[in-house]
Amino acid sequence: MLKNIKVEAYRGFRELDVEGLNRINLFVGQNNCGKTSILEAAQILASEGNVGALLRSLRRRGELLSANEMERNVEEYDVSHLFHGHNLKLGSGFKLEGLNGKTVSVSCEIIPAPQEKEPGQLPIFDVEEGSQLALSLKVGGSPSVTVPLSPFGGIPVDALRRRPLGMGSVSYLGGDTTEVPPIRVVPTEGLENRSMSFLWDGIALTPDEPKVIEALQIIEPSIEKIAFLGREAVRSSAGIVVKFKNSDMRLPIGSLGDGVKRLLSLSLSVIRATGGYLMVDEIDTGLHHSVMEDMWRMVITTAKRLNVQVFATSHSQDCINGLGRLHQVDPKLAAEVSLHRLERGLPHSVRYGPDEISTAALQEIEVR
Amino acid sequence: MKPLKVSDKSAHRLLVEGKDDLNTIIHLVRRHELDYDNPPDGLPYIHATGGYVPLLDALSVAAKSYKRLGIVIDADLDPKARWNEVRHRLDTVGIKLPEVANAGGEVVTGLVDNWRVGVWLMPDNSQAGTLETFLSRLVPHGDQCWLHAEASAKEAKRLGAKYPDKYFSKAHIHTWLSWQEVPGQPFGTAITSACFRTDTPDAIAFVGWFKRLFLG
Repeated sequence: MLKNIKVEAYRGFRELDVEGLNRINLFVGQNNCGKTSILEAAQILASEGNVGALLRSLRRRGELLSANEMERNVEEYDVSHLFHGHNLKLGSGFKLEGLNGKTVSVSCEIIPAPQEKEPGQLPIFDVEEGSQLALSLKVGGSPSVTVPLSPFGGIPVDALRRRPLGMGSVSYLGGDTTEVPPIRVVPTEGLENRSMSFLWDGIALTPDEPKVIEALQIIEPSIEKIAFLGREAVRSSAGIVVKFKNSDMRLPIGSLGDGVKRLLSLSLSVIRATGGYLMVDEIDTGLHHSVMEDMWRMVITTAKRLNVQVFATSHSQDCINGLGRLHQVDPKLAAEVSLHRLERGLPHSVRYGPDEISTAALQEIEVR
Repeated sequence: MKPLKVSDKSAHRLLVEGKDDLNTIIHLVRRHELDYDNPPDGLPYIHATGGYVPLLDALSVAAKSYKRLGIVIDADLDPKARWNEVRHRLDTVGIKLPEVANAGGEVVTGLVDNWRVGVWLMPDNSQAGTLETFLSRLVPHGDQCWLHAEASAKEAKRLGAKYPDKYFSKAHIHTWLSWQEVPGQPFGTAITSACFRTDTPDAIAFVGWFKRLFLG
C-alpha cells in the first residue's frame, strides 16, 4: 500500500504532497484541479515506473499527436503534457515519489537525444534521424533509461512494440520488477467489453463469482446469473447477459442501465486487483445517490478482503455522503477510507479522516 | 425560516448553535441591508448544528472546506474556556487564533492565504452570556416593561415556574416579547418588527464582524 505521494512539476502540479493514504482513497476537488493526475501518479508509482502506465494515461486523455498533421504513418504520444506547463524543453523534468514499505521514486527529465550508443546509456529503441530530445527515466536507484523522442517530440504509439535495444523488458523500468502487483484502471466511461470479458475469465466458477452477482444485486436484487457469450462479449454489450430470478429470459446487460454496468466494472476490477491497486475515475458515474452507500460497502469490503488499495475520484457530494452514511452504520468499514481534497494554491491535499467524513455528512458540510 | 436564496453549496458558511441564532442573524443583518431574500454575493449559508458540542466537532471539517467560515457560539459562563476550546480545535488544522478574543469579533486567515475564519462569542467576545444576553442589549433604552418582565420572571420562579436558573434570561426575554404589539414573536421576527433596536453598539459590532468576514 502506498502511504503517501509526492509530485513535483508533474502535469498541473508545481508540487503536491498527499499524506495519510488509507486503503480506500477518494480524491475530490473542482474541475481541472488534478484529481485524475493524482490517480495516474499513483498508478505509475504503484507500477514502479512502468512506462506503459505513463503512456496509457496520455492515450486515455487523447493527448496524441495526429499522424495526419505530422504526415507520418502512426500517431505519437504527446509527452509534453506530462510536464508542468506542457513545457517540452531541455532540462524540463518531473518527479513522483511515494512510500510503499520502501521509497519508490520515478523521475523523468528531457535530455538531448543520444547521438552514439554509449554503454549504460542505451536508448530503449532506435533514435530517429532528426531527433533532438529524449526522455531520461529513472526509477529508484536503478540506472536511468533513455526513451528517444521523435522529431515532433512524441513517442510513436508502436514504439514499444518494436524490438528494444537497451532493455530486456520494455515496459518495466524498475530495478526488480518481476513482482509488480496487479493494477486495474476503471476510467470515467467504464470498461470496454473486451476488458470486462478478460477480467471475468479469471473469476468465472471461482468463489468470487457470487460476489460479482451480489454487486449487481445492489441495483437489481433479482439478478441471479451473469454470462459472457464468447467472442460476442468482446464485441458488444449484447454479449454480456444476465438472468433474473423467476424469468426464463436472458437480458443483455446494456438494457439494464449504466448503473449495473458500472457496478460490474467495479466489482470485476476490484476482485482482479487482488494484492494490488484499483484506480477509478469518477467512481459514482451512472449511480443513483440511493445506491452510493452499498457501492462503497461492496468496494471497501472486497478491497479489504483481497488486500487491494483503491484510488478513486468523484465530483459528487452524494458519493461522499454515501461514505458518511456508511460510517454511521458501519464505522469499522468506513475507517478504511480517507478523503483528499485538492485545492488550487495549496502544496498539499486537504485530508479528511473517517470521522470527519461522517461529521461532514451529518452537518451538511460540502467537502468537495 | 431558512436562508433559501443562498445555496447550501456556497463556499461561505456560518455555523451557529440553534435556530434562534440563525433567525436572529438573518433578521439582524437584513436591518443592515443584507437581505437574505435578495442576497448580495458573499452572504453565507447559515447552518444550525444543533448545539455547541456538535458545532465544535464540525469545526475542523468546516475550516478545511469553506473559503469563508464563521462561527457564532455562546460564551456561556466561561468565555475564556470557550475561546480556548475553539482555538485548540482550529489549531489542529493549522489555523491560529490569538490568545485573547478581539472585542470586535475575530477574523483570521484560514487554510489557504485568501481564506478566512471568523469567531464571534455571544454576547460581545469578552463577557459571559448567550444570544439572549446579546438581544437584551438591543432592547430600547428605558423600556419600562423590560424591567417589569425581569421582576415578573423572578416572581414566577418564586411561585414555582419550572425554568432552570440558567435559563433566566430566556424566560425574561420571552416574557417581554409576549407584551409586544404582536405578542410572542420569535427573535428574528421581533427584530424585523422593530421590537429590538438594531443600531446599538453591540448590534453594529456584530454586523461589522459579519461584513468583514463574508463581504470584505
